[in-house]
Amino acid sequence: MSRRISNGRIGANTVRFSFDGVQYEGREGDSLASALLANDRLLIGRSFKYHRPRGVLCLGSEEPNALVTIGTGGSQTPNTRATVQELYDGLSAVSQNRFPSLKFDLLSVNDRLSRFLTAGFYYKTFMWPRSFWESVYEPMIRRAAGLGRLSEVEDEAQYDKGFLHCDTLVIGGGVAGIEAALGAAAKGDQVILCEEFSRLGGAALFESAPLGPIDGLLAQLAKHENVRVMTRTTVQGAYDHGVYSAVTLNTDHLSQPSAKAPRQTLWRIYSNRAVLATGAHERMIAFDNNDRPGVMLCSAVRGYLNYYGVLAGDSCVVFGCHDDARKTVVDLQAAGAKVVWVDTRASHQAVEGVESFTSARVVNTRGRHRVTAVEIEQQGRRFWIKCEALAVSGGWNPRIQLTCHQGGRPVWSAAIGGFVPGDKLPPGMRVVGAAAGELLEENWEPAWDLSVNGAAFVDPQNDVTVKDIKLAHQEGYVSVEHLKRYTTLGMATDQGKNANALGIGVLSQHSGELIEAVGTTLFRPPYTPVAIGALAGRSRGKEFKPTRLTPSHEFATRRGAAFVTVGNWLRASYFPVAGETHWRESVDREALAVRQAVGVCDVTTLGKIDVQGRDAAEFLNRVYANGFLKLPVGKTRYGLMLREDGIVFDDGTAARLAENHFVVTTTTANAVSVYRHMEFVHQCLAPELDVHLISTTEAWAQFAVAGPKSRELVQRVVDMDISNEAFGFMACAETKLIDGTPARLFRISFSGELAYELAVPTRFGNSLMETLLDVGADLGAVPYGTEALGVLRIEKGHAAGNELDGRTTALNLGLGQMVAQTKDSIGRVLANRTELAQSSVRLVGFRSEQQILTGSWLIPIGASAEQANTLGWVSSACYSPNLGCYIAIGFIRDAHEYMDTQMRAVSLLDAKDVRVSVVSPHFVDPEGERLRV
Amino acid sequence: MLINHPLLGPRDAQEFVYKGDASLLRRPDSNAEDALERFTDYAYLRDNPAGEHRELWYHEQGDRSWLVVTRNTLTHEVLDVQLASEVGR
Amino acid sequence: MFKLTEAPALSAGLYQAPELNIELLSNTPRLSLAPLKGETEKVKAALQQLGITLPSPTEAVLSPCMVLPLGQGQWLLQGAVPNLGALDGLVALTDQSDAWCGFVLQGAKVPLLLERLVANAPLTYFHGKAVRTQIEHIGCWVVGLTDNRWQILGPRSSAQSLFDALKHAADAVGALAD
Repeated sequence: MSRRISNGRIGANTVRFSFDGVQYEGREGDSLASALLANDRLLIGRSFKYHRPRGVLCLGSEEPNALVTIGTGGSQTPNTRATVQELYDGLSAVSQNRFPSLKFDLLSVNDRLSRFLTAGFYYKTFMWPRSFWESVYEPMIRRAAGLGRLSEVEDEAQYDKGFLHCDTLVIGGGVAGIEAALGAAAKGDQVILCEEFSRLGGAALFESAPLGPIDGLLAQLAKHENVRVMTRTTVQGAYDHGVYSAVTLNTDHLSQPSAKAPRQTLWRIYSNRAVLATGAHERMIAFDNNDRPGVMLCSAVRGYLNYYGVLAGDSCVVFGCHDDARKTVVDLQAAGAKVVWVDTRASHQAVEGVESFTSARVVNTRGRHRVTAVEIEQQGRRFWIKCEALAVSGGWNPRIQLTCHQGGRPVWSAAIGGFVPGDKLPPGMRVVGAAAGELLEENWEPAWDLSVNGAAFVDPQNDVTVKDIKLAHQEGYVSVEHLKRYTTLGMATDQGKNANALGIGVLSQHSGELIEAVGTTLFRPPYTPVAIGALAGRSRGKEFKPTRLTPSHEFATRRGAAFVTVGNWLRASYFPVAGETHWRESVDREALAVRQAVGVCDVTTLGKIDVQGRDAAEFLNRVYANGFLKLPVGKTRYGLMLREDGIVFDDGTAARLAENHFVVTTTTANAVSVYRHMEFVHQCLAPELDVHLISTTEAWAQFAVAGPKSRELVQRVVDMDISNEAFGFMACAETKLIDGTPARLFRISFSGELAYELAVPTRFGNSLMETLLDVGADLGAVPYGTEALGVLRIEKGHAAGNELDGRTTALNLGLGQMVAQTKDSIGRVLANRTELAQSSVRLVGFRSEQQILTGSWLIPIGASAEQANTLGWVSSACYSPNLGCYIAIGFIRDAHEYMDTQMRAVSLLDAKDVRVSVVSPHFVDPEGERLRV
Repeated sequence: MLINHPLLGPRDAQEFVYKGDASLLRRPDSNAEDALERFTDYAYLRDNPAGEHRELWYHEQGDRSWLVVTRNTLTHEVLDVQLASEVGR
Repeated sequence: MFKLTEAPALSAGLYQAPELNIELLSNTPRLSLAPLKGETEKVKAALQQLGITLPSPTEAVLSPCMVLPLGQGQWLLQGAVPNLGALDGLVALTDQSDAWCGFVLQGAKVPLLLERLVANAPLTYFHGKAVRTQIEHIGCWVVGLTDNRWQILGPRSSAQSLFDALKHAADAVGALAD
C-alpha cells in the first residue's frame, strides 16, 4: 500500500532498497524513514529495555526510535537514524534489538515485566549471590544490552580530516542562518555556512508555503564568493576560542562511492564569530502508550507530507497544546485526510470542516504494531476514535545544545514553553531565529504528564516512563542531575533532544516546583553520534604515527635485518645470517664479534644538539651536573643531566669542536625532552647567555664502530691520524673521509671496547655503512643492531634508559662525585637533600645460570617474596655470550653489604624465582683498559 | 584552545607543550643560606588558582619559543602572552 | 679506493594527479644561521651585501636563496646559499642540508590539500609567507612560493611518512572533487 500522494519537493526518480530483507521502492531525495512511511511500513524497531514496537517519531536527527543498521561487514553501521539516512539505489537496512524478528520479538516479554524493570533496577537486583555477577548476570546483561550490533570487522571506509578558518561561522542553513550569512558576507567576512541536511532552506522546506522567498535568498547567497556552503555537515561541538568541530557526510548517500573518497570528513573550524541558527523541534506529551508506531510529532507529519509527499494516514488525529498544531491540521485536510483536532486548551482558531475537541486530551492509544485508535478524554468523558496516525505536539525545543558546550545553562521561557539559551554563551556566539526562541510564541499551555496508569514514555530511546520519574523523585533523587543519572533520562544516543524538556516538565508537575527552579541538565559534544573512524581520520595502521627511518635503513632491509620500533624510529635490532633461526643466535654472534673483532651500528637516533655561542661552555655548565668550562677543544666528556628535583634526567656526551662550539648527545628516548629543557634553561632561566641551540639529529648519520679492530677499520676511511697518541680516548674532531666526504669523529664507547663514532651528512649514511663493512671485511667487521648494542652496554655496566627511570639519583648510579658542588647547575641543591643523599641504594650487577628477568624484585634467600622483604629491583638483563651466563644490572639497598653474596631475583608475574650472585655491574674490563688502548 | 603568539599570531594549543606555573621563572639562588627550603618550594609547591594563572608554554611545533601565558583556568580566556625571554623576573 | 654515494631522501617521490602535483626536492644545500648576541645588526648588514634579507617570523624570502624563520633569532637558508665567510665569528652556523627533505606542490587543487593537513590559516602560508607547524605530527614548514606553488619541508627521517600523508590526503581531494 502506498502513502505517497505527490512528488512533494523531491521529484519522481525511483530507487530500490531493502529493509529486513524485503524489497521496496522509494524516490531519490527520500530519507529511509520517508521511504518506509511511503510504503506504509511503520514498524521499524524494538525499544531498548522493553522491546516495544517502535516507528518513526520525527523528521530529523533528533529521531529516538527509528534506529536501523545499514550495510554489512566492514561498512556495517548500527544505530543509524532512518530519518537522517538518505535513500540510494541498493541501500540495505535491517532493524535492531529484536530476536528472532521485528514482528515476533521474544524479549518483548520484558514489556510484561516492566513493573520490575523500572528505574534503578540495576542497582537493586543482580546483587545476590555475589558469585553470580561475573558468571551469570554480567554475561546476560551484556547480551541483552545495547541497541545495534557491531560487525567486529575493521571499518573499511576511509575517513578524512581538515582545518578551516573563517570570520563568521553560521550554524544552520534555514532562513535565519542564510540571512545571517548574507549579512556577514556583505560586510566582507569570510563565511562558512554549515547545514546538516542535504540542502539549504531549513524548516521552510517542510512547510506548505511556496519556496519562492527561500530561492531568492539562495540566489543572493550564491553571488558571494566569500561564503563557503557546506551541506550534509553537522557542527558537533563548540570549543574554546571560537573553535568548532563539524562532520561532513561525503558518501553515505551514494550507492557506489569511489573507493578513494573518504566516507566522512571531520573539520576543525576556527572562527572569530559564530551564529547559531539551528532552529527548533517539537517534543512529545506523556500519555499512556504514546510510543506506538504511527504516533509522530505534528511538524513531522506535515513535513513528510509537504517535502516527501507522504501522507501519514487517511484518518489522522492531531493533538497539541499550542497554535502550531493548526498548521498540521490545515495541511492534512488539504491533502484529503479526515482530521480530528484535540487541543488541551480551552479555545483555538478553528479550521472549517475539521472536528475539534478543546479542553481535551489524548489519554491512550491502541493497536498491535501500529496505532489504530486513540482514546480521548474531555470533561470527564472518554471515548475512542479510530485513526491511522496520531500527530502530537507538546511545544518547542529550540536546538540550543551548542550553547551548553562550555557550561552555559539554558533558561526556561514560559512564553514559548521551551528552554532558550541563557546568558553565558561560548564567546563570540550569538543565537538567532527559532533557536533563540524567536517567532515561537504560539499561545502555548503546559501539557506534561497526562498518563492514567499505563506506560507513558518520556525518553523513548532509553524506555524511561513517567513512572520512573515519579519513582526517582519518591526515592529522593530530587535534583534534575540525579533524575537524569538514576533514570537514564536523556542519556541515550539522542542525548535527550526530545526527552529532557518533557522529563523536566513531568518532574515539575509532580514535585510542585516551578520549571525555572527544576532547571535542566546540560549537553555535551558531539551533537549527534560521530563515527570513531571520523575521529581517527587518516591516523590508522601505518599512518597512526610517523615513522622515522635511519640513514642505513635501506642497507639493513637488504641485509635482512629484523626491526624494532623505538619511539617513532625504526631501528635494526639484529642482522641474522644464513642458518640462524633464533634471535639469540644472531645477537650472541654480534656481541661476540664486537668484543673480538669489530662491529658497526647505526646510532643516528641518539639526539644530537649543536650548542654554539660565547657562553656555550657556561650554558653546559648549568645544564650538566658535572663541569664543562675547562673541557679542552678536541675533547668529549660524559655529561650527567639532572632534573631540578635532583633525580637523573638524562646522560650523554658533549664534544667541544671549537672554543664556542659543542655537540651534545642525548639518549634516543629523551632527545626531544632534553632539547625542550635546554631551550627552557636558555630562554627562561638564562636569557642573558649568548648561546644558540639547534637539533642536528637528522643532519648527521652516525655510526658506532666498536671493537679491538675498530681503529684499524676507521683509519682505513678517515683522512687523519687516529693513533692513540694523535687521537686519544674521548677525543673529537671535525675531519673528512679519504674520498673528501665531510665527517666528524668521536672516540667514545658505549660497549666498553675501543670504539669510535663516525658521522657523515645523512645522505652518505647508507653508503658509509656498506663501505665500512666492505672495507673491514678482512677484519671480520659485522653490522650489529640494538639487541647486541644492549648486551654490550649491560656487560659494561653502562647505565641507560632503564636505569634512569625517574627515581634514581647520581648517587644511586654510582656517579655521586660527578655532581660538582662548586657551581650552580640544575638539580644540584635538591640532589643534596637528606633523603637522597643518605640513600644506600646503588647500581650493582647480578650473575646467574638461569635467565634473570627485567623488573624482578631482589629477595633474600629464605625470605618470603613480599614487598616488605624486597632489597631492590633488576633494571636491565640479558644473556652474556662474552661471559657465558645470564647477567643483569639493577639497584639494591645497602649494596656494599651484599656484594659477592647470593640472593633471589623474583618475578611473581612470570612465576620466576632465580638464584643470583651480586657482583660489580662492570662485568667486562672493569678498569677500562680496553677503552684507552 | 588558541594561544596568541606575540610574533606569530594565534596558534592552536596543540602546537605547544605545557610546562606549568610561571613561578618556575623565579629560580632561587642556589648559594643562599636557605637554598634547600627555597628549592623545595620551587620544585614542589604550587598555588592552584581558579581564575587567572600565569603559565609556561613551549612552542614545540612552531618557533621553539617559551611563552608566558596568562590564562583564566575557569573560562580558558587567554589574557596575555609574552615571550619568556623578555619577561622580567 | 671507496667513494661514498649520495642517497635521496626518498626513493620514489612523485605524485601526479589533475591540478595536484607533488615532487620531491633533490638534495640541496641548507644552513642554519643565528647571529651571536649583539651581532644582529652587523650580520644583517653583511647579509645585505650578499643580497640576502632576513625575513620576519611569519615570512619567507625566496631569492637569491630561500630564507625561512627557524626560531627566535635563527633562520634557515636553502638553495643557492652564498659563501658566508664574511660572517665568521658573528654567527652560529650548522649544516642542515641533510636534516630536511622538501616537496614542491603545484596545482589549483593544492589549497584543498593543504586545508586537510595544515591547521594554520591559509594566509600564513600564502605567497611569500612561511609557517613552521606540523603535518600529521611531523614538524615541518609550509612555504608559499608563487601562485599555485608551495614547498613543504620536513625532517628527512620522516620523508616517507610525510609523503604518505600528502598522497593520502591528495587521493581524498581527488576523489571528492570528482
